[in-house]
Formats: sequence, structure tokens, C-alpha cells
Amino acid sequence: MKSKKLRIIFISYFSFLLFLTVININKIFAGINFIYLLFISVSFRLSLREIDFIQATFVLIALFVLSTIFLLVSFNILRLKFIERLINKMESINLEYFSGLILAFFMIIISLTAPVISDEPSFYKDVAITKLLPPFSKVNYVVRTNLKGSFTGLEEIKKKLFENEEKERRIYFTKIEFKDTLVIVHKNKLKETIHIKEIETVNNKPVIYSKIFFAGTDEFGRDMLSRIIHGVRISIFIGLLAVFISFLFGSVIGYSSGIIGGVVDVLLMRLVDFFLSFPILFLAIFLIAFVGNSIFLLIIVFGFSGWMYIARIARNESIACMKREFVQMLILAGQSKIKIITKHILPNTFSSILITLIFQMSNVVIAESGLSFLGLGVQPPTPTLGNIIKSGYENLSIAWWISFLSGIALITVIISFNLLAEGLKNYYHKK
Amino acid sequence: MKKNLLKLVLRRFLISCLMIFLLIVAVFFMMHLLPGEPFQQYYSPRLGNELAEQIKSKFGFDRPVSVQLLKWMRNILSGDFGFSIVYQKPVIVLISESIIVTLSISLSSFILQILLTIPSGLFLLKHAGKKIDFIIDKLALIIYSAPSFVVAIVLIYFGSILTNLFPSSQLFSYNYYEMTTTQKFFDLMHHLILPILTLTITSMSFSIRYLRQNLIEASNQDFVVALRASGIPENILRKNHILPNALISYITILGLEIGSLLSKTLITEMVFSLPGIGRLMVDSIFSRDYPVIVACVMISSLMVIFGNLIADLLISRFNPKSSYELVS
Repeated sequence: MKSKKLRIIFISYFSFLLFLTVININKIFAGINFIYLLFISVSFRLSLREIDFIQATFVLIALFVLSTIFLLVSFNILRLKFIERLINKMESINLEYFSGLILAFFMIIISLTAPVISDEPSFYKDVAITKLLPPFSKVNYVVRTNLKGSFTGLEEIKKKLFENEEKERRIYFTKIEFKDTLVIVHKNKLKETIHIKEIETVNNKPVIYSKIFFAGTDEFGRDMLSRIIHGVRISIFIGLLAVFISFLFGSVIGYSSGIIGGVVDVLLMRLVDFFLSFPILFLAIFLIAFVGNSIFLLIIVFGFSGWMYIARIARNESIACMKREFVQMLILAGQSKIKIITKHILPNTFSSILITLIFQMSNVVIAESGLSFLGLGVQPPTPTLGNIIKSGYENLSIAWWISFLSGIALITVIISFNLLAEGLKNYYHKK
Repeated sequence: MKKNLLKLVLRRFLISCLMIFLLIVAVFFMMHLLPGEPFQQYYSPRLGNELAEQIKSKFGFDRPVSVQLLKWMRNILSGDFGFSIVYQKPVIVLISESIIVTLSISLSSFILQILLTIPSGLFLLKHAGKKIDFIIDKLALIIYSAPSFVVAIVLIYFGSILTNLFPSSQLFSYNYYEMTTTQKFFDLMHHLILPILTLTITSMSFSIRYLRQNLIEASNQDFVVALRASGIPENILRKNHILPNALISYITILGLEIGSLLSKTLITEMVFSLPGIGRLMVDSIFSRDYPVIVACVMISSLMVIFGNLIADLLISRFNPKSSYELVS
């Protein structure tokens, strides 16, 4: 019964990933074309956004291949032993671990592929029309013909992919009228008259496109869905890097104090106690108040405000491991100390450190979004979940969806890591 | 046994004193090492060099660092945190005004949390393994994962904007000063309900899960199984044997929570725009009011040290077994 349920979750998850890649298939092809053209062209100077895009394209291609293979295997069409074994192993672990793993994996995939699967979270041209639209609202638009002339090769793809050239030519409207060769476009109370030659037509009739804002828009008419996706991306990026810093710092201090012991242990542990006496958020705010804020400073601040927990766990675990019989025996047998540490103590203590790291990850995401909510973290043009919730809080009485949807996204990010950590804890506890 | 406890208390107290000393020194050097002198705002760069030097010497910046440090420590230990640049008031006055607000929210939510958690933990133990237990456990996990400002926004939306039951911000109404004393009290309570609810919900989501886990662990212990086998009713078993054992670890968590009484309300205060210590701190960061920032950080950190001390003492009082580990 349980395994059947898990298998259904598994299948729906990978079919969703497949769906995610299939709906972006034209962007993926454009991306492949772009990479190919870049490869044969001489200039290789890439901007950050282009690098992001290339990386996201590769991730999506890999996702496409992997999810098709997984789906084929889980429907018993294809038989690959190692994947079947993987699925069976997944089914033997507890539900919390499984769902946390899948959610966290999904969040990381979203944050890796954000440049492809979402639009640029920048301004839309017509704030008057796209401002504060509720979720699932549909807006029609016509597109101006390209007056600048057509581009060739790399340049065209670059324009299409990165510079939103097509989006700038869009004219959003609420109502449209045709009078011979003139097109009258109504924008709420404004009117605009355009000659029919100026916009894209088929058989002398203007083509009317429509765009659906799945998560509505915010007060500047920006698409909420792409803002939330980019917000998740930045939150996870900050979280992962900060946790990595605190892992490096904390594990070095914790292991050295646990293994060396004596005076070093006492001194380092008092240092840990000292840093623990600062509340994390206050420490971060204190540093930011004096030094100013940028994303990298935030990463460093959160990294250095989380290492104490990891150091404490590493110390306790390594001391407990040193006392165990097999380690004592190895010491008596004359095994070299470095070999004991690397081959026996580190692997045996790593599980509890991993659990702390994942808990720490959700703590960092909470702290970062809290700081951004206060206006002290990442500054507004960059979308982070805290920023978005703040702008939603300011417009709460007229637009509930801004803060509610981004709040749900934030809770999903945090809960995925919490579930993962808790599941891992139970898993190792049972073992 | 008692000697051991005394030793522990003394030891912990000395360590706390050392930590407070280190904290003061660290904050002092932080203020001096970072770019820009913290008291630069007192004099304009347009003033002549001589006048600037004069002002500097008045603040004591021309003296050696050790003298400055000693003076700084003496000031802080006597409760003199300096003079706020923006508010033009002594910092200690500002802090004491805002601490009352913060403590009134956090203490009442703390008490409410204890009053609600223990019965609901017992309820969950009674229904352990049933659907309602599962639902409440997962709901608590979701709320535990939600940052306090998300909870606050949800509460504001449903309690204030949709139904118009509670005010969404501020500490009192605009006609507060014309009210009688009882009206004033009810007005304050009316404004404080949503913040207290926010804090209670967020802290309860953790404590319920924690207590539930401990209760289940305690109910599987050998002596409980033996008592159950000897025919003691489940009702009495739960109240007299399982709960006291599970409460030990819950009490130590409460001790730690006392330490965070001042710091955990930061975001809640900002959302509901209450004039508490967190809001004072954030406001003074935006206006670069350094003496106030330092004082806020100091006081909330002192509270954490104090809370850790209380937690240690509680552990040694209720769980003497682990107090040996603390001493050694």
C-alpha cells in the first residue's frame, strides 16, 4: 500500500518535470542554437545572464533525458537495474524523507532553471493595464512590427533571449476597434490610434495574442510567477552558499576541538558559547548596520552566524566516536591518526552534521527573508521572497495574492528542507 | 548532590560574567575597527580641524584605547549607553520605554504558550496514532516552517482586513488619551491580540511537536509499560507518570525561550508597527543612530546569556543526571 502511494508520487513528480521541460522546449532549442552559434563565433565574452541561461539549458536537457528514463522505468516499459534499485531504495525510506527529498530537489531545479522557465522579472511596458491583476487573469496584446530591421544569427537569438526585444514591442489593451486602416487601442481610459501597417498582421487583420498571468501581477505590473521563481532562486542560492561557509568553518573548529581535546577544546567551546549568545538576526542586523548590505555580504554574515551549531555537533559526535571500541582498537593496533580520522571518524559522524546543515539551510532562508522583509537584506529591484512579501504586505488590502502566493512559496522552500532533515534524522535513528 | 549543584551554579555564573565582559569588549572594538567613527555625526566636516579635535577630546577619543575601553565598560555596567542622536534622549530611557512593550507581548505569549501546549500535548498523546494526531502534527510542521511575518500577514488579512475585528497596527487608537483607565486597558488589549497570537502560534508550533515527541518517548519507557501492565488506568498514568517525565525536556526549552524573549519579537513588532525594542533597533539602523543599536544588541544578548544560565539551572534541577555532564 505504502509503496504504491510512493510510486504514484514518483510518477507524477517526474511527469511534472517532463511537462516543465516540454513547455519550454522552444526556449531550449533556441538555447542550443545559441550555444552552437557561440561556439563557432569568435567572441566568447558572456554576460552573467547568458551564463545562467546556458547552464539552465543544460540542466533542462539533462532533466528531459533523466525524467523520460525514470518514467519509462517506473511504468515498467524499460528495464534498467540500477534505477529500479534506486526506486526500491526510495520506497524503503520514510515518507517524510521522501517528500522532503522530492520537494527540495524540485526547488533546487526551479532555482537552477529559473532563467529559462520564467520571464525576466523586470517591468512590463504597460503598468496601467497590467497593474495588480489577480491570478489567472488574461491580458490581450498586439505586437508592433520590428522597425529596426531583422538581425542575423547570434544577434537575433541574443535579442530574442536576453534583451526582451519582442516584449518591448507589445501593446497591451483592454478593448480594440478597427476602422479601415486604423486600429484604436483602448487602455482603460486612454486611447491610442495606430496604423495597421505598424503592427503584425495576418490577412490584413491584426494578430491578437494573449498572456495569462498565473500568479497575478504586483503594483508595478510585473509578473508575479517569474518574480517568485527568481525569489526562490536567490533564497536558495544565499542559503546554499551560507551553509557551505558555516560547514567549512564549523566542521574545522568542531572536529579539531573534539579530536585534539584539552585546552583547545575548552577555548573553542567557550568561543562557540560566546557567538551563540548573539541572536542570529541581531548579529546579522548589527553587521549590516555597520558595513552596509549586498548579497555577498549577506551570505558571509549568515555563514558566520551559523557555524556554531555545526561546530558543537561535530565536536560532540567526534568525541562520542573516539570513545567507541573499534576506534580505540584501531589506536591500539597502531593505525595512523590521519587514517583513523579520515576513514572512520569523518564518515561515522557525517550523518548528524548533514542533518544539522539541512536544518541550518532552512534557518538561513528564514533569516534572509526576514531581513529582506525588514528592508535590511537584499534591496528591492532584485526579487527575493522577503522583498515580494513586503511589497504584498503594503498592498494587502487590495492584492492578497502577492504576499500569499510568495508566502506559500517561502513556506514550501523551508518545509522541504525541514522535512528532508527530519526524515534523515528518523532514517538514521532507526538504523 | 547539593554541593554539586552549587558548584554548577557558581561555574555557570562565572562563565556568564566572562561572556558579558567579552561581549562588551567585542562590541567596543567592533565600533572602533569599522570604517567611519561612530560619533562622526556630532560634528560637521565643514568645521575647522581644531574644533573637530576639541569635540573629539570632549568625547574622549584622543585618549588611549585602553582608557576608552575602561570608560566604556564602566558606563555600560552602570546602565549609561550614551545619548541618542536622533531622539535627543538618553538611550536608557528609550530602551526602558520600548522594553515594556516588547516584554508585555512576549511574556503574555510565553504564558499563553505554556497554558495551551501542555493540554494539547496530553490530547495528542491520548489520540496518538489517530488521524487528528497526524493532522495536528503536520499542521504544526507547516506553521513551524512559516516565518513569523507570514503568519502575521495571514492573521492581519483574515482578522483585520476581511472581517475588521482587530486593528492591524499601532499600540493604541487615536483617541487613546481621552479614555478612562478601563477603556485604555481594553483598547491596549484589543490592539495587542494579533501580535500575541502571532507569537503564540509560531512558538507553539515548535513546542507542541517537541512535547508530543517527548510524551511518546516517555510512554514507551519500561516503567510505564510495567505500570500499565499492573493495571493502572491510562488516565492516571498519563497525568502522573508520563507527563512529568516529558515535561523535563520541555522546561529546559522554556528556559532557552526566556533568553529569546527580547529578540524573537523583532519581526512581529515591525509588522504590527509596535514601539518595541526590535522596532527601535531597526529604526535606529535606518537613521544610523549607533548608540541605540549597540544598546539594543547588548541588552538582547545579555538576555540570551541570562536565559542560557536559567536553562542550565533548570536542567540541573530537574534532570540531575545531566548536571554531572555539565560540571565535568
